Amino acid sequence: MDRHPVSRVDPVTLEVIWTRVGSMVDEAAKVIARTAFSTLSNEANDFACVMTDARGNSLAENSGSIPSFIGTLPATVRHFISQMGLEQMRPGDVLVTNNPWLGTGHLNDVSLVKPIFREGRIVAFGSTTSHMPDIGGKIRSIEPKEMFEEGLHLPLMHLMREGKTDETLLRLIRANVRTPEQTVGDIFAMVGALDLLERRLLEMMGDYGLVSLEEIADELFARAEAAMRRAIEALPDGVYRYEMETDGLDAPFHFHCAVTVKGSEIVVDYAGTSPQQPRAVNTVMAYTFAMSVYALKCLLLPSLPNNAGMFRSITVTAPEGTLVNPRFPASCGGRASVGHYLPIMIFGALAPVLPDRVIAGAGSPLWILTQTGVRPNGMTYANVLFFNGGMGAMLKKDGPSCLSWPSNISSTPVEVAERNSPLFFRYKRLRPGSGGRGKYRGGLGQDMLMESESETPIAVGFITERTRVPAPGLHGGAPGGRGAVLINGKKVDNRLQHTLVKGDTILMSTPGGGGAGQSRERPSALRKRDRRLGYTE
Amino acid sequence: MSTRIAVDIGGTFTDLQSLDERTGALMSLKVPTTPEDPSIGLMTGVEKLARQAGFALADVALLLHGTTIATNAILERRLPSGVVVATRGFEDVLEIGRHARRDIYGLRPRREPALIPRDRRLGIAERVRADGNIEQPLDRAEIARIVTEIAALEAETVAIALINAYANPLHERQIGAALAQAQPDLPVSLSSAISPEVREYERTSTTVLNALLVPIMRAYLARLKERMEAAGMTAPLLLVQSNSGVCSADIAATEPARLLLSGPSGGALAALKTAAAQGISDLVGIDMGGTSFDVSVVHAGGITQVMQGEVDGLPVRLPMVEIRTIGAGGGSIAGVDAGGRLNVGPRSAGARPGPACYGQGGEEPTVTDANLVLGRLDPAFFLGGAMTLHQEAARRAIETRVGTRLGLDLDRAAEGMLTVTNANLAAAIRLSLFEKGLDIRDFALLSFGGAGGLHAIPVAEELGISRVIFPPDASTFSAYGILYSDIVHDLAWSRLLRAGPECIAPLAEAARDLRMRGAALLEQDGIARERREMRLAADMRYHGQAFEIPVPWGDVTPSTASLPELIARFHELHQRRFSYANPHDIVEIVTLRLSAIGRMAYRDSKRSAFSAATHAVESRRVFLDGNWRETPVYRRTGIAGTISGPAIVEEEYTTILLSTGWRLAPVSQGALLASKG
Repeated sequence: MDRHPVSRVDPVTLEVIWTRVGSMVDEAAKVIARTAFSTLSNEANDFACVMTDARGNSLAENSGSIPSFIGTLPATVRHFISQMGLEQMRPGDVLVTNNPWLGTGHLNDVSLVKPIFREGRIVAFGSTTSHMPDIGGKIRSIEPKEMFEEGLHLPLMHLMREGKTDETLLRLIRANVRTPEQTVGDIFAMVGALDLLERRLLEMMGDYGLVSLEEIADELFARAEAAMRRAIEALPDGVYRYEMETDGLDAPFHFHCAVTVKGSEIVVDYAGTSPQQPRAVNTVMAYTFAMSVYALKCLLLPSLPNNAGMFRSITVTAPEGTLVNPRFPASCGGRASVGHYLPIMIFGALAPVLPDRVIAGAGSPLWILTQTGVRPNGMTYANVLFFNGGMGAMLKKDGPSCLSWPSNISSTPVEVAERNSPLFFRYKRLRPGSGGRGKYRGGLGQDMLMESESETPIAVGFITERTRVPAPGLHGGAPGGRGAVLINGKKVDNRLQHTLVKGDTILMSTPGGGGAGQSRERPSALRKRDRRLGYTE
Repeated sequence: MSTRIAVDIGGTFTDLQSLDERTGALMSLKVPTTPEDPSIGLMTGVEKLARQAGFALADVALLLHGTTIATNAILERRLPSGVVVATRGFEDVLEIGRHARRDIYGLRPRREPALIPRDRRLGIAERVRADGNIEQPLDRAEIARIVTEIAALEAETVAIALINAYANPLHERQIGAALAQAQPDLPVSLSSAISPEVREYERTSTTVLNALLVPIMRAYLARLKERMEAAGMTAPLLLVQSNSGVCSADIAATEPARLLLSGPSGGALAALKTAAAQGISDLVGIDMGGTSFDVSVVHAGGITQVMQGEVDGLPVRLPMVEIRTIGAGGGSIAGVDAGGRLNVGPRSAGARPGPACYGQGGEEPTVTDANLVLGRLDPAFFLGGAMTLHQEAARRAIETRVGTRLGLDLDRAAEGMLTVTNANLAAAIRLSLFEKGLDIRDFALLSFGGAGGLHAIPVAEELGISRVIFPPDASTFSAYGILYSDIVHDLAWSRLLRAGPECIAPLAEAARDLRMRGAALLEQDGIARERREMRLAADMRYHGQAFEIPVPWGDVTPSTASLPELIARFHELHQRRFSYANPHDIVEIVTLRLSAIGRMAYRDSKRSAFSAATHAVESRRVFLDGNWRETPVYRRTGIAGTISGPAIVEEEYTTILLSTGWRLAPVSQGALLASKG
């Protein structure tokens, strides 16, 4: 194909190139979704692919991926650039890390970065991150007091040098995780995705005679930045605050958030939030940033495709040593149990100026049940199940029931879970009455009762929130129903690991979303329908 | 009894083709669709066809029918009131779904109410285990209670979807039998019969969709038969399924979910038929109409299929032609977003108001407007001259909504819209070949659908493809494909097995059972033994994976001899699709499938010869390669030999753009072949 080299970035070429980059990351995501071994990546959608320019600025992300990853991956690329140096990188290298501060916020997510060379120069980075079925250490729960208890830590290092895999590293990984085949299988699915990104990008640059991506990237970033600035300017200047408490540990956690809107810029500050904890609930700054800008994008520019320019006018700060900016070596395996609260705080803060765009508190954070044990044949196994609560209502709309938000993690089918684990499901149903009342009702949570059929004991760990402090309502709506975890019918300390023997049951009742508007204003037809369908009690 | 008719009913037009089985003569036409009762338009078309081709309705040997009536009923939620019976404790499976959101940044996730509301979802005390063993037996009193409740709810149709019923259908069948006895006319759909595969939400969704469509399809087929009889047509009726095969009206009335995604089947069949006729084994079919662009793939002489699709966000777990659809067509709207990006589609101006140039009040610029402004469409010869296009309206729309906002003059703005559109089309093609692990350079393009002709060659250019086929009657091409359908029954048996010696006995037994059922179905269809073909396939994966790939096995008996072949093929396919294979890992078989095919006898068509001499009818100024150039315009019927680009080739429902550096020549079967260089 002979085309004229791009001399000036015209809007049409720009769009065409962006479309091509977007379709590359979607192809790469397909490689992971379809080849990853663990049910996490392929059934639950717990991974992401991002292409960045040579400076580590995000150009495009795969559609349908998870907000947290989209925010953290480009930062991971930049850490490799600044700490390893471009001169250390060679064609065919694949870099790896799962350091929480440099990666996505916990060890379970392994991030891979591949420098893409053209004519001897790095022109871009392909990057991907995926949740491993197991990374060793204590099974996922909030119990670990330091990162060291949470599993194998891979600092910034090479997985492959000039196309050759570091076999020592692989042996080390295999020896340290409970699911060596699945974990290594997933890592190679990611390598496949990066190879594809490299091939596709080079083809495209060849087609358009591009020597570098910078000029195009800068143009894309400038446009996105301008659009976000315009959206922010439309908000009245001011400092908008929101405070809330969450379940916490012995005492509730306190969160404080101040959103300062000034001209075309926003500063989100979390000063006043509880100090970091010796439990795996801490949320590193990269994750705090990702969740904060995610919320702002939802409110201000939901339909514009993401890139690095979009968030240049947004600053996120938090004092070091808090839950939302912990110091090394804080444990953070259950980061979602703090991080998933952040978007709701920003919504709460901006509710007075964007009353019909925000939603009430959701029955999130994501709930997780981990099981580990030894099968009768001596093989170790680990299995993870995800659960979601109801979504918050908004003005003019009831919250949907059982929906993943702010994350996007699918639930595992009962029939698949029964085939893969020694659990037998007694029921899985909506939780009547769990949606917060209001003119618009919050979404319902679900009840799921499981029984252990394992001849050998199973260790179970939980990450469950909103069992004490429910999802807040909005504009006078009532809070959603609290969640609960019961073992053999009794409430248990869901912060601790428990052991199930054959015949023991666990009931997971996920929380409902908050309502919006005064409940007395709810039309009687809707009340009647809710009663008829058993959505309310 | 010598004429075969194929009818494909779309949203705007009902397309027909007929084949005279004595002479091989083909005839095609289009009539408007009659949405209130599509069988009216169908009969109008058939009668018109009979007059034009000179056959009597009594002489029609076979009527093959593609319909979107099932799909439309779902999209518009015009559905009867149903009941779903679930295992007690799992009544909400249909509503809970899988929790995923489609739009990450959208705060108003679209959630339609569940197809069957909560007060019509009945729980029944019973439980089957994952291995098919019965945990809790279903007792008679419980069955009787459910039968009474269903009667009290005045259900028009019933779906039964119990946990793990794919592994043991006993309880579903017991309830079904009791209902059949109590209310013989009540339609009942069993998940173990409709979609006997693991994953309760997907199976329940498919079964419920099926149940809700039974009354609709029954009524439609009854009306159609009445009309056929009134017109003196006694020909058997076969309906097009999503798997590109046809089925009897009886199957269509009891398992209408099999028709839900049948829209692309005709086009895919036509692509297959064209590939065979032109001696090409790898072909990408692109069907571009007013609102959407469908990509189907013929590889190694077969149509690729997938085991699951969705309609309106609801999963349908049944084999279907693998199609990638994007919202790009003649009516796709161009605009500039908040970030200053030029977007085209997926929003469409539809038929009303339609593109700005239709002069029906549309103010937003569309792909058709851009083609008109750049001289690629003739304002006086749109739809063969049936509609006059308004140049001025098109110019104004592009200038105000694209040109001034991007700082581009009219020509550049219109050209930009087409460049962006073609990039989107190319991306869709690239992705659909990629996900199958196929190399684009081995493929030829086949362009059909009304809007495809102006885009096919620029898209081929972008993809590095050097051959593009333009079949005759591109606008009724799907009907042409339907003419050559075979009867296909897809049967499945799902159980988790390790692919090794121990799986041979259960597989052999399952295969025997599937074959018997397949043979019985083909017997009912009146298919002679020598025309029957049985093809086994297995959905396979590596231990630990959660997705399977369908692996063809052929007409074999599972045995120690045939199993290694299947496993080897799995590794090979895995390598091709996902660029790696682990030949030493444990392989699992999740589902055994049988396609029982009834080959229908037909005669190849004969196309009338091309005209004797080539002559351009006129020339006009067309904006190409960045300049306005005087460009020859041909009528398709007036092409006898090779012509060179740039040129425009017009026919009644479509226009072909032949780019600079491309040549176009007639080939067999009335097709035109464009090649680069």
